[in-house]
Order: sequence, then C-alpha cells, then structure tokens
Amino acid sequence: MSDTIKYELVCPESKVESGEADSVLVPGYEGDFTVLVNHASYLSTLRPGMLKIFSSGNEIEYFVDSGFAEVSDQGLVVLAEKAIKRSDLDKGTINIMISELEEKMEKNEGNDKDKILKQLSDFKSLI
Amino acid sequence: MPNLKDLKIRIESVKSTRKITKAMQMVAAAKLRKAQEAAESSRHYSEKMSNVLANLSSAMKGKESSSTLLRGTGSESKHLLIIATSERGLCGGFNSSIVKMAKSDFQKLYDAKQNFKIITVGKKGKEQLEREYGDFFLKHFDLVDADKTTYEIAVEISNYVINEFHNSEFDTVKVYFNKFQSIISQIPTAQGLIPASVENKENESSVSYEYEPDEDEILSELLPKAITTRIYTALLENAASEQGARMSAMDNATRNAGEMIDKLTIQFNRSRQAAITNELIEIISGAEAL
Repeated sequence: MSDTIKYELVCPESKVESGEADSVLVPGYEGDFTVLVNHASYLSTLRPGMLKIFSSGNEIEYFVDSGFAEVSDQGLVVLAEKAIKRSDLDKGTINIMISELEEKMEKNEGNDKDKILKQLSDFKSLI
Repeated sequence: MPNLKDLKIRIESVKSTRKITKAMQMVAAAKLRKAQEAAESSRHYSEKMSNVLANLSSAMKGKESSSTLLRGTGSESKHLLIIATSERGLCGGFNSSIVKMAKSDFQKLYDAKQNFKIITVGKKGKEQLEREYGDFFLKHFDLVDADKTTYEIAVEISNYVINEFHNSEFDTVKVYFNKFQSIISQIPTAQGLIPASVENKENESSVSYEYEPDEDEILSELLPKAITTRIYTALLENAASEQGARMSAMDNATRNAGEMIDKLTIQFNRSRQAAITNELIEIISGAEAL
C-alpha cells in the first residue's frame, strides 16, 4: 500500500500536471483542505487561491481560479478553469482578473452578486 | 480551335491554381494536426467533467432538484438551436452539410408550429441561413481567431445561452456541429445541451461523496461549466472537421487541376504539330508549283 496520492490538475485546454504526491492542499470553497491518501470521497468547488502539491520534499504551487476538486478512491482530480504556475503569476495578472470581475459585477445586479463579491475578496487576499 | 498562345495561357493559369490548392491542402494538413491535438487534450477535461456530473446527478436522483438546466423546464415548445460552422469557405461540403441538417430540423419545428430561434457561430453558416431564416436569428458569434478555438469563446456563448435560458425564453437548447470521424468523413451531429442529458453508466456504481457546499449549490455551479465544456468540445470537433474537409476538398481540386493540365498539354502539342504540318504543306506545295 503506497502512501502517496494520485493527483491530476486539468484545464479545459490541456492537462496541466499529474503524478503522485504526499499531500495536496486545495483551496476549497469554504476553506483550504489537505488531501492525503485514503481520503474520503469528497467533492468541493474551488475558490480563487493557491493549490499546493507536496511530494517528497518538493512543493509545486499553482494558482487556480474556479472549478472543482473531486476526491475518490482513484485519487484527486482538480478541474480548474484556469491554472497558472506560481512562477508565471504576478500581481499584474491578478489585477487584470480583479478588474474583469468588477466589470462583471457592474453589469449584472442579479443573485450572483454575493458569489462575485466573495470571489473578489478571495482575489484581493492573494495580493 | 484556340490558338497556341491562348492554350499556353490557360495551361499556366491552371498550373498556378494547382499550386494554390496544393499549398492549401498542406496548410490544412498542418492545421488539422494542431486541431486534433487540441481536441485530444481537452477530451480529458470533458470526460472528467461528465463523470463528476453523472455521479452528482445520480446522487441527486429522487431528490427534488432545483436546477432547470438539468431537468428541463417541463415543456418542450421553445427551442434554441446553435449552428456552429466555419469562418472560411473552400472546405467542401463542411458547412452545407451542417446547414442542410439544421434546415430540415427547422422545417420540422416550423411544421409542428413550435417556436425556435437560431444562434449562428461562424460566418459561413450565417451567410447560408440568413436569407431563408433571417427572421429567426437571435445572435451571431464570430470565431475571432479562425485557427485556434479558445475556451473563452465557448464561455461567451454558454454565458449568453444560459442567460437566455434563465430568462425562460427557451425550453431546450441544441448545438449543431460536424463530428470529426476521419479526414474523409465528418458527421453532422445535433447534441442536446439543455436539459443536460446525462447518460447513466449503470455499471459504475455511484460513489457517495461528501459535498462542500451542498449538492444543490455544487450542481448549480457545475452545470454551466458542463454546458460550456460541451460547447467547447463541439467547437473543437468542428475545427478539426473543417480542416479535414478542407484537406480532402483541396486534394480533389489539386488532382482535377492535374488532369486538366494533362488534357490541355495534349491539346497544345496537337495544335502545335498541326501548325507545323500546315506550314510544311504550304512550303511543299509552293515548291511544287514552281
């Protein structure tokens, strides 16, 4: 029985990263959670935040904006709309995403407002 | 009988046509490979997405689901049809096969006195449908960068569609596109988007998940994404089909041009020979007359 967990990080346009890890820290909708091996089946939406993959002393970090994380006996699958490697991420890109969100909020006054506001504060906490 | 100079000009012009079609064929082949790769790399995401959706919807079974995106509105009288075509022509029957299929469905809906509206994606479909069905047009999306299908355009389309759906304008949404089978065969396909029909795999026993936030909220987040993914997949299939269709159309054109050049060359040689013979006869009969 191995003590590593299989993980996959998938975007619509490509498969970003996959492999075995000791643990993965996922930015869940209601808070970060860490997935270890033999985790119970779990399905959560993501909030904008950092996904951290720990494997044998190494740490890989990705920024993910929205999507899902699914934990099953087959491992962890993260479906993200966008995934950007930490090293490729800078304040400018986040600022662009923030201004896009603000624009979106101005456009629709509907029931999505709370969600967008939450996303906005998640983004702002990243800077 | 055309004179020698005319023939020569024709041969040259057909030759340059052949050069162009040959080049287009090769460009299409390169783009086809790229399009296939793109379709391949997105397949993973869409498969995972439909897995999650299938699990979730089987977990929701029996419960009162709040999302009309999944269930449908209960009636079936207003339809929204998305016709995905290409931005450029010269790709054989690619666009007309979609349009033909769509038109026959329009007719059926029309005869059944049902309401329907059309969204076109890609310039060519719009051009072909505009005259007959222009009154039914709701919106048109251009494929900005014709060579690369981006996820953003799928997001744009699906946001618009879902918005229209929630304004309870429509009961069902369908997308028409060409499914890529091989270079020589692309199959026009109509796929339902809303209600999001989930094919239930009975053998895959559903895993009972813990959900965060609850099922309903996840579902309401997941469904729009699943619809976007389906649109994106359709667009990618379409892009690959377009290049495949263009490739085989250009291959045909190149071959036809070659045949034409052969024929014209034979004609050219014969007329040249005829001219020489004529000249000889003139000289000989001139010499005899002396």
